[in-house]
Parts: sequence; structure tokens; C-alpha cells
Amino acid sequence: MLLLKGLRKSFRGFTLYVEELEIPDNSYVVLLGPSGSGKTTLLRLIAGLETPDAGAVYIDGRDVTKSPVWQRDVGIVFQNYALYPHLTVFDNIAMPLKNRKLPKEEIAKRVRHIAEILGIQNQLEKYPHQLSGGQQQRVALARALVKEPRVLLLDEPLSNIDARLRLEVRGFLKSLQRRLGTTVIHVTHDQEEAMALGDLLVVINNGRIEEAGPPSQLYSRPRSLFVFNFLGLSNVLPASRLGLGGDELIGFRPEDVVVGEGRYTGKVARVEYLGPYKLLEIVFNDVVIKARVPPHLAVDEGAVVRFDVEKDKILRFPS
Amino acid sequence: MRDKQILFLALPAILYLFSFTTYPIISNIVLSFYERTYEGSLKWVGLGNYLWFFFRDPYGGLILWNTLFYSLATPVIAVTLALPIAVALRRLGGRWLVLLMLPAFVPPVTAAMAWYLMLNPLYGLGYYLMQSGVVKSNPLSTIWTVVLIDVWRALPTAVLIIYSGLRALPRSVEEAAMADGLVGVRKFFAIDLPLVSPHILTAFVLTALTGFFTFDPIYIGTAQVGPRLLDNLAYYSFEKFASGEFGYAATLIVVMTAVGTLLSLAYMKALSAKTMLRLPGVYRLPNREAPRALHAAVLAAALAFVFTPLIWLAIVSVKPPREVINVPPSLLPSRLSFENYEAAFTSGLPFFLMSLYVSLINTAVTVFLAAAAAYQMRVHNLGGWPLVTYILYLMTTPTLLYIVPLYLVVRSLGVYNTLWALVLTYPVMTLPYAIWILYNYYSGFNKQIEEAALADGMTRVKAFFKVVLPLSRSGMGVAGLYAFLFSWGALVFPLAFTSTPYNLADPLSFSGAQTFSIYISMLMSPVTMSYGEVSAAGVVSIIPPLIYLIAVRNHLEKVWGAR
Repeated sequence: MLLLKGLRKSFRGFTLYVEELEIPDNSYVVLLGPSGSGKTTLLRLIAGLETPDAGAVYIDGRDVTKSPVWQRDVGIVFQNYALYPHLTVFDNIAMPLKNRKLPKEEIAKRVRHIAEILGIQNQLEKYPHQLSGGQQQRVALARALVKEPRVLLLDEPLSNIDARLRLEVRGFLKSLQRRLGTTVIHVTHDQEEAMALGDLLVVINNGRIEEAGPPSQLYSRPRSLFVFNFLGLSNVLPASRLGLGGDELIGFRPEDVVVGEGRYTGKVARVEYLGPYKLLEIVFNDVVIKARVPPHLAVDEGAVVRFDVEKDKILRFPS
Repeated sequence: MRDKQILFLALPAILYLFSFTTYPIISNIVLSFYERTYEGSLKWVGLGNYLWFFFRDPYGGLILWNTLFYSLATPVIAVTLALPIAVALRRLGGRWLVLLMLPAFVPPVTAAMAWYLMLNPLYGLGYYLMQSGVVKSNPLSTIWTVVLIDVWRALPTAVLIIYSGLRALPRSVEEAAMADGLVGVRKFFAIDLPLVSPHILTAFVLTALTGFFTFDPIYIGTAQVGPRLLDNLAYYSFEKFASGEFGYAATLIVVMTAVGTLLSLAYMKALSAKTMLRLPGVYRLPNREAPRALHAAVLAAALAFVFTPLIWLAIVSVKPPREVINVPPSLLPSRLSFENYEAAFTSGLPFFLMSLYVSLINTAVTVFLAAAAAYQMRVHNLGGWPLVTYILYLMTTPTLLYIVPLYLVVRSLGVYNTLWALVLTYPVMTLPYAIWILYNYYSGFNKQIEEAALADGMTRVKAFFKVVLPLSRSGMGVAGLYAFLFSWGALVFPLAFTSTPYNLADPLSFSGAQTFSIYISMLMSPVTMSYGEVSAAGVVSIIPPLIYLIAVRNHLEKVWGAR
């Protein structure tokens, strides 16, 4: 179990502060936030690449705040992989083991084992520049995993991957985690990637943790307005506009809007055809409401439609 | 796209360089088959000159040995020293780099003079070296002194190249090494050193070129200890040229050109080298940071090495003239005296003025022509890689190679021993370097600025002058610094193309064109014993480059990559 307590780090007028965050074993945790929110700093604090101004990091109850990175039992995969260009794939993966002066046979055995798991057993004699980006990433993963760390840290691991391969690598990362049972902490700014992967989602904004929880909870029942907006398309408006209350804000997702029947009548200002569904912008009472409808629903821009919002899906936020 | 205006802008520099370098190279080869007779006419001797040099010349063996020694000892020592210094700089902060760079801005003649002055066994610190038994024989008469001076001159470049290599190491790779448990000394040998090995190779080849072509320390040293002791190919060929044996001088120069070309090609190969060195047994090294005090000690020693000759020079320059030749020499002057400066200013003025004229004119001409050519080469890919290679080649080989044919050209134009001889020939020395600096500078230049100017209805020529040039000030400032530095410190060309001091009785004739470098080397003679005057002149010779350096220092930091 990884525990962060009262962790604070300031630089150049920016402060990251984590009051308390507990990360259970064997889980896939995603740190999600817009760029500049402090998510990478948090990862580096866990890794030991940065020292906090205050607070502590515990791994399995052991205070590692003062420990340098190599004593923390963490594996790191860098955004640009950071392979050693002058070493073969084998030597890259073997580096953490060689450094611990393990016997040669033991090193070879463990390198081959992890290389097989990652499907790079045929690349071991090559140099990093001879590999594709995806292969380089697997080498970086192998190097991080070969020492069997308690925690595996992934810094934006999909950002340098070709868009076509991203889904595939995403699935691979998750199944790898399930197979090895390591705790993974994965940093990203992509909410779709975060929801697809995370057992636990930690949304960070402006140096603070906004909310943490399972993706389904954060998507449909968030406590924070920021999280509600950040995790997908959203409608946010004063409750009074729909006659549902006073000044407080209400929020609901476009898919929670029912079009064709209901209490309200609005004018369709815009129709976007998006393949699996259509997105409508309905003007009602001087606000624009986004609604998601089946792609075959015939509706033209300028048409007047009836609509309603599913009551139990409506979230209320203090204004 | 090759329109005429691109060519028009680049042509002056390129035409000049081609005619003033390829013609001499070819002419050298032709001349090397001839011998100049006593009557002054040329006689065909076939390969006679070459055979004479390699098999008959009584000095041939010595000269080849010295040349080889200089070309190997200088890079080995310079790079060996530069590596720990660069590491110490990285640990302690790049602000010390500026101080270490100082030797690169001291004119070569002044550097050589300062060292010989300091090592003098009677009037310099050499006295104490011999008294204490550290050195057994006269420190002036050994070829190691030439190496010492070359190392002093080359060290800044070597440190700079290796230090910038260390700074360019990807941060994430260093962090990955940390995550893998590599620290301090072991990390340095397992990761850092292999990754900067291409930079080390570059520094090695560049300093080898310095050692191979070294001239100024031998020119000064020979005056101290007598002929044929320190000679290398460069100096020997100049001696032959000076004594009128053009054919033989050309032969030696052709040999040098061949070796220099090989070294220059090695340099270009090193620049693009990707192969990295791997060291065995790194896992037995201690896995911890070397103590900070060790780095501080390395840096302090480097600074002491850089500053000692300059401080001695400054001390001697303010000693009363009689005290300068006291044995044993006093470590500090008994009183501050500026008589040496008065003497140096009185007799040195014509030389000083001539150096200033030619340096200023040449800097302006060089920077302007170089900018026009480099911009077209980089942005419009004019000339492609062959032209870039040729510029690099010219940059890494010295102007000594061209003196014989250019002397004949200068003679036939009737400008020998005038300012115009120097103005005409100096760009050979400065243009390639300036083009190279600006070529690299323009790699980060936004091409669309020129295209926007064209879209606004300017011609390319007008766009270059109105838009590109004003935006190139920092690049031109740095290119100009080096152009000024080389012009100000030049020795070979003024020695070859002038014979008398600037005639101040008729200043507008601009005839008589010996420069301040020549003045210093003339004063630095054991016969006149004007050591006080020469040290004052030496201090004066450092000032103009320093003024220029301070003026463009902010731009330099971008080029050097120092903080």
C-alpha cells in the first residue's frame, strides 16, 4: 500500500498539496488532470525524483520520504522512454540487476523472463535506435519491471504512441498489470484513457486533488463540478432555468437528455453527426443544452423539439 | 528554388573564398615541382623537393618527429585535462566557464610571449623552478613548452565542447539511471562518459589540428632558444618561404595540406559520430558522488593554470624597467611603474593603429559577407552539403597553407606592405569561421519572416537587408567577435605580406603595415631584453578583444550554452 500524507511541493509560484491519498495494492491508478495541474510532479514525488517541501511518502508502512529513488522499490517508465542509447536491449533491461551485482546467470534468466512477457525476446541484441517506438516502450517497461518493483510509475505512456496503436497498447498495459499484480500509477491528461484503464481515478487540478474514486462514480456522481466538466461532455446551468430550484447549479450529461417528448420545448440550433450518435444543441430559456440522440433520429437545425432530463441523473452543485 | 537574387547575395563570399583558397592550393602543388634558383627564376625539379625532404634534408626527421609530437601531445593532454574540468563545471555551475574561456581571447602571440616570459630561467618564474629543482634544464628550450602553450590555448575549446555535451545529456536518461540505482562515479562512467564520447572525440580532433599546425609558440620560442630546436612542418615551411625558397616551402605545405585534410575529414566524421564508447568493469566503481571539494579543487587548479601566465604578465608590465631584469626576479614590483606602458605606446603606436584598422575593416567585411552567404546556404540550401563541407574544411585548416601563392598575388598587385594587402587577404582567415557560426545560427531562424517580406512586395535582396539582417544581430555579433579576434591576433599573414611599420609621416598612404602581433614578437627578443615593454604591449593586446567580448557577452551565452 502506498500512502501520501500532507505532501507539499512549491516551485515558481505553483504549489502541489496532497492532504492524504491512499493507493491500495494491485490496483491500476490513474492520475488525471489538465497540463500544469501538478500530476507529473506528484508522480515524481512518489518516484523520489523530487523531494517534497513537507509531508511524507510511505510504501508498505515504511517512510521513504528521505530515500533516493533507487531505494524506493519503484519502477519508472519515462515519457520518452529514456533508454540508454549505447547499450543493447539486453543490457538496458539488465542495468538495475547488474547494479545490484546479481550473478550473471540470474540476470540473464530474469531478463529473458521479463522480455518474454513483453514480447521482445527477439530484440535483445539490438540497440534502441533500431527499434520502433512501441518496441522501445516495451524495453522501457521491461527495464522498470525486471527488478519486480512494488509500484510501477508510468508518465504519459501513450502520448508518444501512434494513434492507431494506442488502443492496443492501452489494453496491453492493463492486462500486464493484471498478470503481474503490480500497483501501477499512470499519469495522463486524456480522460477517456483514464476511465478505460483506472481502477482508481485521481483527478488533479491546480495542485490539489479534486476527487478520487472509481471511474464510474466520478463520471456519473462526482462531488466536484470540475471533475464533472473534465470527464466528458456536460450541461451545467442554474437550476432555475429548468424550473428545478433556485440559484444552485445543476449538471447532467447529454445522454441523460431525452428528446422527442417531455416538459420542455426548445429550438435545435445545431446538429453534429458523430457516427454512433448525434449531438444536438437545443436552445431553451436562453441556455444551450447538449443532448445525445440516436444517429437515425431525423432532426433538422431550426426544428422545435420537446425534451426532458432524467430526474435521477441530475447532479446539484452549490453555486 | 534558386532564383538569381539568392545567388547574388551569396556570391561575393563564395567567389572570394574559392578564388583565394583553391587557386593557392593548386598553385602550391605546381610550385612544389619547382626550385627557385639564385637568379629568382623557377626550375623544374619534378619530385626532387619531396625526395629531398623525406630522405636528404638533415632536419627532415626532427621536423616530422616534432610535428607528430605536437599533434599527439596537445590533444591527449588537453582532453585529459578538459574532461575533469567539464565535470567539475557541471557540478559547480557554468558561471565559471567564462573565466576558463579567457585564453581563447588572448592573441596567440601574446599567449606564447607570456609563457616564455614566465618560464624564463633568469627573469621569470623559471628561475624558481630551476632553483627548486622541479625542472633540471632550461624550460625554454624544450618542445614541451610549445605543447604547454598549445594546451593552454586549446583547453577552453575542449572544455566547452565536452561541457556542452554533458549539459545536453537527456535529463530523463539521467533519471532513469538514478532509478536503476546508478549514482555518482559509477553513473558517470556507465552512462555519462559513453554518451559524451562523441564530443570527446570532436574535442580531440580539433585540438589535434591546433597541435599539428602550431606556429606562434615556435616563432616566439625560436627567437629565445635558437633555430631548428622546436620546428614543426608549419614553422619550417614558413622559414623556407621567408628565405625565398618558394618551391620547397610549397612542398612542405602540400604535405601539410594532405595531413590537414585527413585531420579535417576526421573532424567532420567526429562531428556526426554516433558510435559510443563502452567501458568494461564500471560495476566495480564506487556507487557514490565524488566529494564536492574534489570538484572545487579541479576547478581551482584549472583557473590557476589559466591565470598564472596572465598575472605574471601583468606584474612584469608594472615593474620599473630596471627591476624587470633583476636576478633573482622579484615576485611583486617594488613600486607601481607605468614606464613600460609609456614605452610600448610610443614605439608601438603605428603597429597598434594598423592592427586596429585592419581588424575593424575585416570584421565588418567578414560579418556582412558571411551573413549574406550563410543565410542562403542554410535557409535556401545553396550549395548543399559540398559547400558546407568545404567551409568546414577551410575552418579547420590554417591560413599558413596559402601564404606562398598569396604572397605572389599581393606582390603582383603592387599592394605588398600596405593595409590593402591585409584587407585583401584577411577574409581567408575569418570568413569560413564566420560563415560556419552564422550557418548554425540561421538553423533556428524563422524562414517565414523572409517569405512574409516577399509577400509584402519586397525583392529578396531588399528583404535580406530590411528584414533578415536586422534580426541577425546576435549571430553577427558573435561571428564578428571571432572575426575580430582572428584579425587582431593574426601573425602569419602580416609576417608574409608586410615588412615595415605603418608610416605615420604619411598616414593616408596606409603603407608600411606591420601589425601589433609583429611588434610583440619583435620586442620579445633576448637581444633587446625589452621584457618590461613587451609585457606592457601584451597587456594592451588583450584589451581590444576583451572590450568586444564584453560588448557581445549576452549573445555569446546563447552560443556557448552557459548559464
